[in-house]
Amino acid sequence: MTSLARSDYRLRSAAKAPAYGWLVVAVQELRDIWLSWRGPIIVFAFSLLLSLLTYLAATNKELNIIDQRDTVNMVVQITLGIGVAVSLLFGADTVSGERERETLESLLLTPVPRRQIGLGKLLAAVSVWPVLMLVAVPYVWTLKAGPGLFANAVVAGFVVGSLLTAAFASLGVIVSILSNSNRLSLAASFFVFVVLLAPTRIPLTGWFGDHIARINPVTAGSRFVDRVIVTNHSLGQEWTLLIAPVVAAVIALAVAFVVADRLRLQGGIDR
Amino acid sequence: MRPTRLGPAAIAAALFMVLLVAMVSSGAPAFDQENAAASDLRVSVSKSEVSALTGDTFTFTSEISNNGSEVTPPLIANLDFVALDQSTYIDPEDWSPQRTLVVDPIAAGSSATQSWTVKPVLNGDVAAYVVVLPSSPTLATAGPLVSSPAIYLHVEEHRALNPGGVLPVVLAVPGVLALAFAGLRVAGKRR
Repeated sequence: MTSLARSDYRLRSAAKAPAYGWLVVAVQELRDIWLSWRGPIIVFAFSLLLSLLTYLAATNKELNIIDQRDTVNMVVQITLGIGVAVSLLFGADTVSGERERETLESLLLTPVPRRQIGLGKLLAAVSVWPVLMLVAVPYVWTLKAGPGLFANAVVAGFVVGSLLTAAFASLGVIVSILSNSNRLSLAASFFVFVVLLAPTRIPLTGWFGDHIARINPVTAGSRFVDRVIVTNHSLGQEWTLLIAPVVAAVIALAVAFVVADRLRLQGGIDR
Repeated sequence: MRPTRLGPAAIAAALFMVLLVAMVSSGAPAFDQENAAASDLRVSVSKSEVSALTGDTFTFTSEISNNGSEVTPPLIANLDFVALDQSTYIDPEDWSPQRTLVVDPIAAGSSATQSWTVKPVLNGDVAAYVVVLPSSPTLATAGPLVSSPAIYLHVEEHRALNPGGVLPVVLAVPGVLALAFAGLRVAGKRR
């Protein structure tokens, strides 16, 4: 099978393109995620994980081994990591998954501009993040040391998570559009995520380490959350650490929209 | 009359006596003074034995008495823990939030009292004691330290079902989610 010629597609789009095609695609994708087993199972498993960690952390906190701020930080960081990873994997499945399931052709034949298809799929991919953050809120509340810590932890986690989710879900969509194989798309996206996540587990010290931590959006975001929750800095005090996540989100979204406009039935892009 | 001549042994004895008198009459050197000051200090604790569960908190006091005739220099009192069963790993910071106190100079015949809070975090047999030393680096290293008798802690494990009151959240969130998603799925199938 071949994709529509780009000029044909443009003519069709111009003639019949609905204004809210992205919304139709997003609703359909959201149904696929939330009315099937995928979304609910992930959120339920996430809540079980947080329950286990919270119970263990509370036991240790009661014994004074782990500081209360550290336990809240741990819950927010885990929520960030899982939220970003799941959004990335959902993004990486959007187009290459449809290719493998042989449902992309019918989608491309609809009179929805391809950029709007990409937008709808991206919105569905990031939908898991606010749900996971919402699930984490009761755990943060029950572990918090005071109302100030709770508010700061939730706001810092939501801001950083939203930026990173936008960046990584877009990355997933980009790789998915370019990839013929869903396996390749998922593996490549996850590899990039792990490479960027790994430095958060390494103590980055000295000027070089500090630069790496600030350039890497994952380490910068993680450090921002850490400073706000553990070190008790105000949100505005550490705003420079948000530069990398903001830049990553803007670039990834822009590239995703450019690449989505050149979406074809096979992997790769129209030139 | 022939003058009396002193033999070499007598000269040596005389020199030894002169040196001895000089040492005693010039006053004891600083090292001896500090030793004397340290030996004049006594540290006692308000408890000798405590049985507790992990997570419990108890307090005790220590009293530093200056039995000498001179005021002490500024002192540092430090609370330490030692595992008696040699199988309990002790990180002292976990056991007490404030383990070091600065004690102002104590006048002769007076005493100073310190309050300590202990929160055993692991089960086992542990000794807790307070050690006192001068805060000046030179004085601190000059003489022996003064320590209190040890408090014997017998700690047993406390198993809490609802640590920190988190159990309702830990159970309710997955339960509510399971119900919500089941309802969503049923509603989706009916449509």
